[in-house]
Amino acid sequence: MSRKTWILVAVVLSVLAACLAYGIYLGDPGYVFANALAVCYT
Amino acid sequence: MSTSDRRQRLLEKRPRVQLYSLVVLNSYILAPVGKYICLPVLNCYACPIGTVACPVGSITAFVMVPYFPFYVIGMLGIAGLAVGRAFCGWACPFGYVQDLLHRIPGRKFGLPRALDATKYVLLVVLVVGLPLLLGNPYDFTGTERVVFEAGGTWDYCALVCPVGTLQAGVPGLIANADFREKASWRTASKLAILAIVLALAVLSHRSFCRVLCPLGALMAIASIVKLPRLRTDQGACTRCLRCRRTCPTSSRLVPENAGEGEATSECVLCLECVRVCPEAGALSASLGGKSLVTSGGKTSE
Repeated sequence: MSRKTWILVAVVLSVLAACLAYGIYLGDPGYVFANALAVCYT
Repeated sequence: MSTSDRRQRLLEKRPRVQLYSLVVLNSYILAPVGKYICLPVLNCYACPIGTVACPVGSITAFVMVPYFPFYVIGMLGIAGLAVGRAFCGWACPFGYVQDLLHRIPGRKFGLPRALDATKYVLLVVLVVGLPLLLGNPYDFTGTERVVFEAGGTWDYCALVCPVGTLQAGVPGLIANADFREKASWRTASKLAILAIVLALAVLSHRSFCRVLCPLGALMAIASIVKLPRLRTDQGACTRCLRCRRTCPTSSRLVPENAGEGEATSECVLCLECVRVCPEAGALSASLGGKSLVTSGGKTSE
């Protein structure tokens, strides 16, 4: 892969990692879990 | 055995990897931990033994709040960047079911490529659009509401998803008299969709993945920028087109025009094309520029 592609990969990965980290900070995993249990057991 | 030989042999073992994935993703003991995460595979979380949370259902639930699903999008995006749509080809339980069904002998046919766009429409309308406009997160709870009741929500899980019908709906109808009492036109329509999807899987390989899977659409978008590459060496290719006949998603790998020669976003990286290609080096898969496996029984590091 060219250097340009690696830079693009790094930028996209940074954005996605920030997205994931912000979601975790806001407590998204808890909502995912609660929703999964609600769909499953109610 | 060298590392490259092991990689080559792994191509032969893909059905076994898919079987392991199906077992792990439906092993109840892992569910309490797994349901915090969304893997890019279609496996209904309404089924108590389902290990991980369904990304489509989770996105729908977030959108109904309404709230942007940062966590789910981040997780799916990173998976798409790292391995493209390999989860679809190697780990998705419903993909495995379709692969098994397609082994039933008989007449087979391909679907028109124009139908591939349908899954993007479903993603926009039934996973994002209608849940955003009509959704109430408190309605999006319970298998009864999602699968059976006439007054259920208007989203992909409630209206279309054949995986939910197969894994939660059908067992629920068999085992639970309350579910049978609440069965409505939605139940009938979802059972009909499941029957059509399973019948089409026998006749046309991975037809559901190509046409109806919104997760496939999402992962196709998420893997626009990705580390894995599957390429054709036009010099080595003899255009026998075995790869095209084998490809479950009709990804146009062998070029029709000069300048083409890389798998499209429909490619699920099952690497069946690499496995069946008789020409040494005509097809090659790489990860981050490093060659993983090449056709013709030869591999390079």
